[in-house]
Amino acid sequence: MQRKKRKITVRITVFLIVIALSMSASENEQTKIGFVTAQETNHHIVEIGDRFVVLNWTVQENYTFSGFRIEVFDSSLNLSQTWSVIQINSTMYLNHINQVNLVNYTDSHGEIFYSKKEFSLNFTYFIVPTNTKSIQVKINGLKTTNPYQIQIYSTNSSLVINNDFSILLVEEEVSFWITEEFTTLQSIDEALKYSRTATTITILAIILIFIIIFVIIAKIDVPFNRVAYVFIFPALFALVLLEVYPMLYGIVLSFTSYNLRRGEIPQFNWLENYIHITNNPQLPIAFTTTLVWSTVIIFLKIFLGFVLAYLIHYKVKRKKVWYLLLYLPWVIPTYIKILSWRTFIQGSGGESLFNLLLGTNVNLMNQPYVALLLACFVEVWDSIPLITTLFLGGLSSIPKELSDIAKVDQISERTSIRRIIIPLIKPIILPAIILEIIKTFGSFNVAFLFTSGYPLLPYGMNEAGIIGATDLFSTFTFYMFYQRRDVGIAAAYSTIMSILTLFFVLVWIKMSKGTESSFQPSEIKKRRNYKIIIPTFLTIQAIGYIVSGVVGFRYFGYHWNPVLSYIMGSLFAIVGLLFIWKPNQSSTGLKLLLVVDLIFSLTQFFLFQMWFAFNWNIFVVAVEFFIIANIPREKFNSNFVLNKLRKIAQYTRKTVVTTLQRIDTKLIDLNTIHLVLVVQASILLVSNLILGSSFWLMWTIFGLNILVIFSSIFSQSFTKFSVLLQPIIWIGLGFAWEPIGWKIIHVIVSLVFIINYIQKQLDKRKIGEFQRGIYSFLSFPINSSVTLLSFSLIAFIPIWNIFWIAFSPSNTVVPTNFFPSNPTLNNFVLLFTQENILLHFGNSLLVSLGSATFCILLTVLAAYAFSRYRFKVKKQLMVGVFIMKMFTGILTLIPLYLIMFNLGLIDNYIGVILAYSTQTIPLGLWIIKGYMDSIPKELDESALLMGNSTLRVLRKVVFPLAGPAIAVAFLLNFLTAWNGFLLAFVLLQSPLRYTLPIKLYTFLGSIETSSPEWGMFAAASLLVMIPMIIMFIFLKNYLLKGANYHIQRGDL
Amino acid sequence: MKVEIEKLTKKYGRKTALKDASIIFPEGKITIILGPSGSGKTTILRLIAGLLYPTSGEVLFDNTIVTDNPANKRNVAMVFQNYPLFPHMTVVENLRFPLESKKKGKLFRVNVYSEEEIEKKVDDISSLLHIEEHREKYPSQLSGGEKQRVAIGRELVREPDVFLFDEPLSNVDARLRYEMRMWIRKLHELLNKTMIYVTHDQSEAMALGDMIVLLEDGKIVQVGSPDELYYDPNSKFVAQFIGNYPMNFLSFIVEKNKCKLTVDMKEVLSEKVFKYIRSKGIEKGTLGFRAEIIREFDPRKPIDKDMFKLECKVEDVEKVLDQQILTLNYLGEQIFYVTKTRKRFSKKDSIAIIVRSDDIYIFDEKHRRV
Repeated sequence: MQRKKRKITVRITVFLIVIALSMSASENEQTKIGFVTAQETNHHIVEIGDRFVVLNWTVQENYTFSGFRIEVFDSSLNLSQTWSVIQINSTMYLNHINQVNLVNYTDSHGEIFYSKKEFSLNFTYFIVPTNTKSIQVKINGLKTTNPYQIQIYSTNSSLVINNDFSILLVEEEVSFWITEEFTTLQSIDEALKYSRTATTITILAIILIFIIIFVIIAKIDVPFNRVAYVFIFPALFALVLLEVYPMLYGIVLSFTSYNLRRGEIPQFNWLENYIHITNNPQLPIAFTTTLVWSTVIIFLKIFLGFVLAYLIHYKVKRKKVWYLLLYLPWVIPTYIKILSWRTFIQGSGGESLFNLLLGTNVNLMNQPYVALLLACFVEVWDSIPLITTLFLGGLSSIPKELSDIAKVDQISERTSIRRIIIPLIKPIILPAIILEIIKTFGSFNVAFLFTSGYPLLPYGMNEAGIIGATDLFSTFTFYMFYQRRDVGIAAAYSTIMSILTLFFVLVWIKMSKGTESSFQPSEIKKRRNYKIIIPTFLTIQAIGYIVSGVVGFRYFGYHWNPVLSYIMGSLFAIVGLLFIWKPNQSSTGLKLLLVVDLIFSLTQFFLFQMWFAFNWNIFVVAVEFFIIANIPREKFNSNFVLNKLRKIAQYTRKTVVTTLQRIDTKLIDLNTIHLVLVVQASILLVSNLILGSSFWLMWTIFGLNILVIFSSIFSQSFTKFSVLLQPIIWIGLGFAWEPIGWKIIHVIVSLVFIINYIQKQLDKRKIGEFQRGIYSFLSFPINSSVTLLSFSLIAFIPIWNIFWIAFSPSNTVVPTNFFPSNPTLNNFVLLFTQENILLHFGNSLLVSLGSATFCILLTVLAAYAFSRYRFKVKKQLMVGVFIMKMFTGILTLIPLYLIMFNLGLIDNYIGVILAYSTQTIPLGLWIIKGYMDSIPKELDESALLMGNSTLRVLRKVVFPLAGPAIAVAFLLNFLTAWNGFLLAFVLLQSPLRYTLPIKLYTFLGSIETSSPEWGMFAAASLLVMIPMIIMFIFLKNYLLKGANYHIQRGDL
Repeated sequence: MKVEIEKLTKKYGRKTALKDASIIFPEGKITIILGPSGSGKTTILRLIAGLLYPTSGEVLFDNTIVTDNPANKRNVAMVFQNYPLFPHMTVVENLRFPLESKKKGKLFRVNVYSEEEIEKKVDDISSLLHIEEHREKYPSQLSGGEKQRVAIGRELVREPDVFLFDEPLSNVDARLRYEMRMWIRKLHELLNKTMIYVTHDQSEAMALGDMIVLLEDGKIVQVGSPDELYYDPNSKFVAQFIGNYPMNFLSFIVEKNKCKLTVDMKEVLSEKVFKYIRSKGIEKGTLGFRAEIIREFDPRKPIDKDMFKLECKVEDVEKVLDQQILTLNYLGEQIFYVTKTRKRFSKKDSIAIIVRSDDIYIFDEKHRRV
């Protein structure tokens, strides 16, 4: 059955009918792209495109036929073909509005619905209900500049549904509507032809200018260095052509009215695109999402990365095993990881393993907060190995003596982290973290592959389309470009994003300069005149609050309650005035006020205004905090009232502290047992809350747990008895119908508790030989190991899910038991026979090998020149090359696409190879140069003195010696191309040329697809993953060496 | 081949490593470039080798300017401090490499030496250097001395015009160092090629050099034979740098036709010295004498007119085998005294020393010898 259906699908997808919907009617015909309304007017052609046409017709109230048949008549070939049938059926259920499916219609009330695409043996068909009023159809797959006529017949047909297949039997039909003949538009490809010459000329000009500049600089420099210029020329030239030129081109494009869909000659419209953008309510939404996204992710990354690195570096034995476990998820391609998370969490429409395990009801399609949070989680998990590596590098740079001294001096762990470790790793880690921020800021993969921007937001809609709760700046830009083909506007978005990135880049430059020289700040802290800055700030803020309260401005102040705006505004004004007269006294009040404001603003933002408006209060408050933190503390010589107030405050504080102290003396020495108990209690609470458990047993156990905690912190003997809680929990778990996931978590925590308990309670002196054995086994650092293990194993749960799906016979997402009940290799067989996966393997291999080889050729030459010669502008070039890396990705995508197009390199392996080869040049340069610096210079100098030419020295001496670094750089580029999604997705168009990532993506499609092919995807993922894991295990020493290299240098 | 540098200057950014250096390295001689670290000796060597390009000035080989020729066109051999053998080649491959590197032809370049010639040369050199049994070993399997021999052998096979040594013995232990010095002398006799040898160790310079060039802060201070540098230093720096022990200095002042030491305003200097000073017209200066020429005052022997006596206190005694190195304190000034007497000194002992006027060097205010 599946195979038959597939054949039809293949046939049908060639000429696919997409019927789509837009939520609002718009006046401008040209902007109706992507989403079009089913309007209640009579039959008419809504839009004619280059390869598609949109039709709209009304269904009469007393329509007697059972459906419509759509026939396309190609006037040039005199050939008509039936493309699809729309069936009217009374017994269908209405699809949810968020589910973008293939048919849309309005019912008698004018509400809009989508219909689902179905397959039968002879036709694709869509089912609409009997009360349908109007239908809109988008017919794709037409030829460009070709005359067509669409004929619609009213049919009486019946659908015969068998067990295995369905077939449409057409019995009677009457012509319903024959459109006038129309000609499809010029295609985008043809429209672009004119700019081909322009691009060629520009590129030639760039080549010429570049060569001239190079020759001039080389002439100025000393003769011995000229060869260095020859060596760096290819790499720099590739970078200029494929990175710098697109960047500048993108900026130019942002000032033009360039729309690929309209196929007109672009003209300069100066700031019109930017004005359009600022008027677009989607910009602030995308901005907000990106900001929240970056902040959450960076904090999580830093926190988790530090914790993991700390545990690995200081807490556990057998570091190598942990390294391996940490790096193993790293080798799994990002796109597979993300898609497998999607499989695990979302499954098909919320029916997933995740929900089954935890008993939750997560659906990424309609829960904005959950979707954003989970997307952040996936992004963090994707990059955890990298950030942990960075922290590990930082930690291993701390001299071991320092931590020994800390131990000998009895400095507590907390203090030593806060006062020794963090200050020491900060200068090393900070530039790297800023790089991470830049990367997160421009991240694309998770938002695109995991949620595709869903869930959609009602206020994120305008004539340009709709924006979702997880649409980042990057995906939004991509959407603007890829779906809407509005190059000018997309380029303007990119430019804005570049400017924001530039800010971080400047910070990075400053930071890395600071760390180069020394650890100590070299300048004396400057005192600024805060007496002016703060009052002005506060006045502006006060005015802003009050005005926005009056006007109802939603980006500032308190939009959900204008009264609060007035109150806070006036308070700010008062404090501002006070600050002029009595700065010292009012600064405490100001701090308090700012904290209150921050709490209010954050509450407002996250609970009421998220995705509706970014609240700039938060930003302003943050800035003010920063200023206040720099004010030097001075002695209070305050007046009477304030003095009195302060005394009261001091008194209350003292009483609170003494009471706490009194309680503290009653406590016994707390240890890890108590910590584990608290963890257990909180997990119980969370699971009870999430499940909404009304089951009294689990709540009782939770109560018991709290009781045990309280009793055990006061008495040693109660602590001894706390172990009795565990059997109770187990019994509770046995009876409670909790989902399996929670049971597993509870059991793990319980075991950890028991082991900790035994470790603490066993008296070493009194035990026998056997117990001693147990004890030595248990002395294993269990808590750290369990934490690390759970962190690293979580990444493998979706992988197991994939594994299960790959071997299961049916196309289901949710595993029913640990191993598939009757495992089959059917999916793999299908991959090789039908999907021709070997071809795509070949494509990927060709692209990756080509790109890596090309990249290495350029990089090695340049790295040698950078390592051995002291030519002019060397330092600036190095930094420049590195900065360039920060601007790549989505920022240069659009212009790169156009350039490739104009060079005829779209849908061409060479284009993809070129695009990927420059991606890792900066990093590769850094790695190889670093390694070459460690090769004694005398080696190649003595080879040179023997009369060898520089190239021969490179070939005979340097190349063999720099082998490991070159291999790592090669692998780096290879993996980038092998795993690369975005560039290949954009630059390759015909299915036969797809690389593996694109092929795998087509199995699943984006999140809204109705029929993903889980089995194929899972099987293909395994096929991709397994060779990579094997390769990793073989090459791990090499890889670790390479990785260590740039950790030490603090750049990655 | 005669090597000459002419007004050679090399700047690294703002720092000047070498300033206006002009030296002629005579053909077939060992010339030592000596100086403390950072004085620009290696810079000279690298400029001659063609590994660095001078900021200004010229390098001449046999009166032809070769400044613009890069290192691979100069036929110069260089032995580096850390014996850079190619770690990925065996000893034989290391020895063969320079021979295989010699090419001839303009566009279609072929090896100069045939396979048989290469074999023969490698065999010869390995028997000369006694490294036959190590032929198939990799450099990491060799000891320091063996590495050094292979490194030198690798340069020898090439038959270069000029040999450059960049502190080749500084990483070698003391015992081996004597052996290697002897070795280099033997090599020089054998080849009779121009050799330029850089070192910071003055005893090595004295032992090897036909001619020594002494550098300080990128400037040439004195050029001459080892004896000239030892007995006739032209400045305080040279006097201080050459010799096993630092020279002792006492400053003096000429006042009212009397020459006094600055520390105690005593007139100790002999008439002869005073006359000499006066004839040069110096008012302030330093007098120096080496630790080796100091004698202990013997009350039984009278001091003659040419000597002067200093009453000192012993501050520290260092006994090295048969020698004793005493650090004396003469009114706060340190004086080193080397003696071979069996007499034992202890701290705080009083001792009187005598110095002969002939052994005194006199330097003016600008530390130049007069």
